Amino acid sequence: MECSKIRAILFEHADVEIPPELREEVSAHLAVCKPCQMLFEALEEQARALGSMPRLGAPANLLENVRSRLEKPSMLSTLRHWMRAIFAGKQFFGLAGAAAAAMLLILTVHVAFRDEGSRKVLLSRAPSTVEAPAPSVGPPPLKGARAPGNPAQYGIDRSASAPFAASSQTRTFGSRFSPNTYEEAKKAPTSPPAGRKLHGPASAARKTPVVALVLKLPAVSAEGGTKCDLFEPNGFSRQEGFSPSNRALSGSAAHGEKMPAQSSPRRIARPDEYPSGTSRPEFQKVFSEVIRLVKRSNGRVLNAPEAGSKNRSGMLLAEVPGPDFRLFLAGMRRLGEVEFKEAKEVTLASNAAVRVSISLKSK
Amino acid sequence: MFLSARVISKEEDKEDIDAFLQGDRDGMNRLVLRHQDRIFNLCYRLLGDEGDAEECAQETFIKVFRTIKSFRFECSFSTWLYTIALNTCRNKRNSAEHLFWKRLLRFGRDSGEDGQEEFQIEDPAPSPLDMLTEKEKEDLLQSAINTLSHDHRTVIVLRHIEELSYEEICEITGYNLGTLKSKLARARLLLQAKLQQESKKGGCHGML
Repeated sequence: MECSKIRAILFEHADVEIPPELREEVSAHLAVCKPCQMLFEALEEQARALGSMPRLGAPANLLENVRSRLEKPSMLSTLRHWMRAIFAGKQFFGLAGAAAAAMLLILTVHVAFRDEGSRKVLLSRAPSTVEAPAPSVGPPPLKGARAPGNPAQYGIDRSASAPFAASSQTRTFGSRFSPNTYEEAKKAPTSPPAGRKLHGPASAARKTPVVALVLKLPAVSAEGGTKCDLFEPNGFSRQEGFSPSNRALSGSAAHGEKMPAQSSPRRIARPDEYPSGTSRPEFQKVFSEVIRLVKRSNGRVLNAPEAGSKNRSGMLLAEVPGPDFRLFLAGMRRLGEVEFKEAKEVTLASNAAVRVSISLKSK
Repeated sequence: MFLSARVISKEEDKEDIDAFLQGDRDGMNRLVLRHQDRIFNLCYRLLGDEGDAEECAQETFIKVFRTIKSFRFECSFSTWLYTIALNTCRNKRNSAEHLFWKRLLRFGRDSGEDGQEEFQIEDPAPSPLDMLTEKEKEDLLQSAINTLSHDHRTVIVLRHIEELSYEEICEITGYNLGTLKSKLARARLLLQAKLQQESKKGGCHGML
């Protein structure tokens, strides 16, 4: 056998882990091969040295340490014990549900407040946003500017009023909403104050009967009297330059200036339609009588001619409760001859208030 | 005699394990006392440090007794114990702490740590081990063993120090017989080369 093959199994031979037939062959080779014999002796020497190494005894406290460490529960077992204790109880699910609900509530509140805050920030950072005009509360009408057709904006500004002669029959009354014509009074809501809410869209206005009365006074001359249905809206009447003809008639007033008082009572040549009779003391007396009558019959005056201003003429608008309307009518008949504009008496079907517009006319 | 002693030990191990599983503390004590020296010696030869060896031996027994319920007696208790001890020592050597100290101690040394020199078979010089005292011989061998890799050290220790058979080593390490033979031959050659290298350098022992 060659040396390479012998050396391949020499370690096993040295370890006495070789089959007996091979052991004989290796022993025969070692007897004749010096290098292989030297290697074998070195391996045996090494094995002898390793085998003769002292066997160390364990420390005396090894058993004690092992026992103490075994009795002390490990971290994993402690954790497992705690988890088991938590999950074993039935109240765990109740507690978990309560905790989840609380977390959800906190989260919801947090999100809601955060959103509101961001909304506020957004609103406060937009100063250039043009505010949309409120539908009922508009900016006050500019002096001398033509007011739009919104009747709620026909605010009365006495200081800016410039009575025209052509529209001098227009009455300005002391309320914010002042229907000046019969048509306006028809369209107007039942309750005149603008701030009050309507319960139905224009339904109250439709239900309220409007009666136009002309009170013919026996003692008044033929040229005096008022008419109720030809008044222009109050705001329009006060606009300077509303009508070019008016402007030409009234003089050369610049835009925004107050018209001179003496130029206002200009009249168009129709004395029966545009009378100036209200300036008379008789008409004032009659109007105060009518107002007293309205108040006696539990009504109220919506739009009264002003007693103080002498150069004003117009009509009186009042609201009388339905049950008291007949009483009111009887009182009116005592003052003079009452003429219905629509030539018939209103049938009072309900207790709703009746809106009455009264104008004076001399026979 | 040797074989019969092992057979008796196996029987005793089984009885003590049963006693321990039934709550008898003395069973555990007997098991520890019976195997602690061998386990400690194995750990010391594998690690080369008494403190580490004690720690690993404790860890080995603790692992054994915590998982002894799953032991099915498919192998002997001592084989299972050796397997756990080997793994514990391997983990210890691979731990960051151990590697740190190892690098610190190696700092400044220049030597063929991996045993690149082949064993000179034709070298007629006498073995360096012949000229040393027992203590010096032991230190030299231990330092040479410490330079080997874990696998080589394991097979050397199990075969020549613990004097286990090839079959037992295969059972403990999981190697097949051919792998074990080649690893053992390679480990012995490397160990011999280390010993010759130490004798040429004169070593720290100053007597070579």
